[in-house]
Amino acid sequence: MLRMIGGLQRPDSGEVLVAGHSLAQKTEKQLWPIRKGIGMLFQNGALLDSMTVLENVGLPLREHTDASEVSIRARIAEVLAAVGLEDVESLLPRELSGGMLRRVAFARAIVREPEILLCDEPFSGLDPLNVTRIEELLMQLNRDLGLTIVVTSHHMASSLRMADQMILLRDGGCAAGTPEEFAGSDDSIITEFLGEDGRSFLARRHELRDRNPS
Amino acid sequence: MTNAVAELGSRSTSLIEGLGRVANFGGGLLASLFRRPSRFGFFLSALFNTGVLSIALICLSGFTVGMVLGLQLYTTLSRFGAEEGLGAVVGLSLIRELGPVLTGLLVTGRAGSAITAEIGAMKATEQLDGLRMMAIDPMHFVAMPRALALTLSMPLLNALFITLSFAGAYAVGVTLQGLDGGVYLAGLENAVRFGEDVGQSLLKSLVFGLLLGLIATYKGHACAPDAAGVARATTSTVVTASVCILLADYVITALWGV
Amino acid sequence: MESHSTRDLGVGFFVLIGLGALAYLSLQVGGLELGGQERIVLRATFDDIGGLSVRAPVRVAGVKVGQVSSIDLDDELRAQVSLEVESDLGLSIDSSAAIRTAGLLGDQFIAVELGGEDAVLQDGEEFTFTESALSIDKLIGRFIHDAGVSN
Repeated sequence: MLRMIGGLQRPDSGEVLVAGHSLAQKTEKQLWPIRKGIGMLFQNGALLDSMTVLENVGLPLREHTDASEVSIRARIAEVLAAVGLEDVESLLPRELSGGMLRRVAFARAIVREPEILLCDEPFSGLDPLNVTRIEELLMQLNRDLGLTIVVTSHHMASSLRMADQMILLRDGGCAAGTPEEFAGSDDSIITEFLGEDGRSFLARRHELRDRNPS
Repeated sequence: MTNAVAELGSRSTSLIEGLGRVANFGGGLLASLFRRPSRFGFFLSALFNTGVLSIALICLSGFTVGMVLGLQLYTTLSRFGAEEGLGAVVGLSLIRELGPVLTGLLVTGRAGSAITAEIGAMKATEQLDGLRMMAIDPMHFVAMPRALALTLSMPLLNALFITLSFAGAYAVGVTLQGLDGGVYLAGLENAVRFGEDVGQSLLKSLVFGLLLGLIATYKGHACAPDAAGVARATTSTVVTASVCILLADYVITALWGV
Repeated sequence: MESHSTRDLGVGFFVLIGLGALAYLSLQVGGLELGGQERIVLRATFDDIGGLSVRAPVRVAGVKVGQVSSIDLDDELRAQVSLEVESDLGLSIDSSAAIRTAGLLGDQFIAVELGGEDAVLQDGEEFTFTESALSIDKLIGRFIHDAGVSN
């Protein structure tokens, strides 16, 4: 799904529109302007393993902007701090832990201040501390920078907490709605998918509503 | 019966399809060569990996092949009382055929397979997709420096191989078997002509390098993005490139003689 | 960016020895001439060139001064050989060009013997005196024939 939004895969039928631009019939080169406004976080980070953190995070800047080395360095330090990492600039990807790797990839995805952020399973394999960290980061980016964020995830709790809109894809069909609609749904497939997280989410929402009847 | 024919048909179409994809890739590679100069550092690193790290292999193999050649030829030539021809025969056979072909095969095994594995691993870990999403052309960034490095290091490695082979043959013919050193060198230098022989050697090694560069990078790019796929692609590179080198050798030899 | 001194050093070394080997093969072994030597082309006509081939050496007093650049047939069906030689030799116009064999069964080459005149052969001029190749079988045939005749 994310690959289709990014134009890495073509749909068998139908159309993909990103920020009003159709991706149909576009060559790789033609997709570039669209992609420059998108940041993508891959499940395994997809950092270039022969380059250091510094070189990886700085890559989009060095390739696509004429910014000076100083300002690039500054920006890199900025985004690394935003994801809560310090002193990692000279490390190679293989020297990083799973959580750190994910966060460096995150930093790379946002370094050019994209309008859209695509995240492929950003929570998979992370410990609860890092999950919360990434969650807060995503919410903050969405709030402060108005970033449109598309996340694929199997982590129900985070999804319900963060999402404005949710889409469930299953067996060739899809269901869309707000988290409340999903949690309150009667559909057996949805309730099965949301499981315990769905129920506690709903319970908390009811609690909040009861406390603030206005 | 009809099944066999259908099988042949589908195999042929997929072969042509495959060739088409390779040609497409090759065209893109060539085009990216002439675009905005890519990072020189990548090219240097690739040159290091293919050239510098192959030096030991090439020199050792060259010297050994020279020794074997020296031994075999000396024995055979002395049957006809023509030992003095050792220099000439060694020189011509190495420069025209053995040098470029053996260097090509050795580099294919060493550097070609490594490059396919490297690019294949990048594909399997989505690094190539990552580049595409950053609006960076993986062909320009990853494949082109490596293909170029392969093409350009081949003639240099070829020259090294040949030079060391001469030394190996010298070691056997002169030092061991007692042929006069001056006669050996004189025979060598008189028989070899730049235009016909060294030129042919250069052309061959450049073409072999180009073929290997194309095949190794293509197979890395086109492999199935998992461990098994990478492994298959790596062996496929060695096999395909070796066959292509041998075929190209025949073609060039035939055309050059015309 | 990081320093890549090992890498750069390695590549530099590799390129150096590679080009060095290439230079050795081209210049020393292959006999490639780099610039310098000016050459002129002289012509010589022979009845029989024997086994002479293009690129055979041209020697004066045994020293190589050039090579055969082309061999053709002229209108009278004699062999027209073009010789490329160093321009500063100053070969007198009555010099002779002969086809000799190196050793008894070796390759054939052009041996130039100097004449006595002051005037020198210029670019494009032709040797007045030439000696065709001696073939062993003709010699033996003549010997046998002469021997037969005298009996």
